[in-house]
Amino acid sequence: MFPPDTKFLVIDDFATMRKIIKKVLSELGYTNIQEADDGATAWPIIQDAHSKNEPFGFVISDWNMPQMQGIDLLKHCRADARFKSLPFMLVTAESEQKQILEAAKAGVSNYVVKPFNSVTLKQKLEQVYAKISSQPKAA
Amino acid sequence: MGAAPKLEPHPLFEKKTIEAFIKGIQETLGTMANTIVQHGKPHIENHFEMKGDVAAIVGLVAPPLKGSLIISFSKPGILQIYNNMLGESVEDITSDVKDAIGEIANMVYGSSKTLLNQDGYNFQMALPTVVLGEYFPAKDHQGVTLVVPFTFKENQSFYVQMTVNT
Repeated sequence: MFPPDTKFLVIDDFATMRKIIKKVLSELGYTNIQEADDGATAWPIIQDAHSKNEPFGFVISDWNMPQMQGIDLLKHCRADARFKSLPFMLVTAESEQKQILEAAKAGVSNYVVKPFNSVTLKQKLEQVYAKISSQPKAA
Repeated sequence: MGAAPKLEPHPLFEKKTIEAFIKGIQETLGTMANTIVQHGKPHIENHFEMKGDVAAIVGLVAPPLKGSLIISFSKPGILQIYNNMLGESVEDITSDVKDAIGEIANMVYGSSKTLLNQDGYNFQMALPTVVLGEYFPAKDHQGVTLVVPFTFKENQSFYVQMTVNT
């Protein structure tokens, strides 16, 4: 699993969902958690953390947000060499096939459909870790 | 006194639409708030009347259909659900409680929409708004409202209402 000092960014326009995700992460032993309420506010936070040499190790983002949607933030990340392989999970109430395909095409690390419980979220994090661990390291 | 109006043959009030929203409610509150809810008999009312103290409203757009989904809670009911969901006890409908109502509506609509769109509908994404106190539906609202009452532990209740716009 991801080490306990992994830095998380949790993005959702609803404070309730940020609170729920933070609660689950805390239960899993993660304490380095920052929040953003939208993709548009998250993007500079991600870049800023990287430039300060304190990069995020995991992004958990809602899909449906007013200014910049989670899928667009994911595309920004994947188009930038610095964040190409940043673990990025979308949390969304959308579970239609076309949305799942769009997220996969954009390079999402995993996908959680709301409503979900803490067991599901933990499993999804473990799946991302297993996926990353099995990938050959870049030379 | 006249008999209660029967379910209108409007596509938004079809059995499978109602069932999808009931399932969305039960799944959302069961999974996120460990709250098992039972639904009463869906019925039609001739005029819209907000049932609770606070409500989330989601604009329903499934071309050519238009309407609103209103999930309204009594104060004690939503405070109980909020406590079940976040483990926090509050005594009033604070901005945090309103935020939770919005997120509940978001999840209910999202999961119901998925079911319905798999069944041939074309419900669009929508962001909910939360109102405290009185709510007046859109001017093009037809008046007729589908009402589904829900109950849960300790005699708490809430309502799902659906209105149709022209």
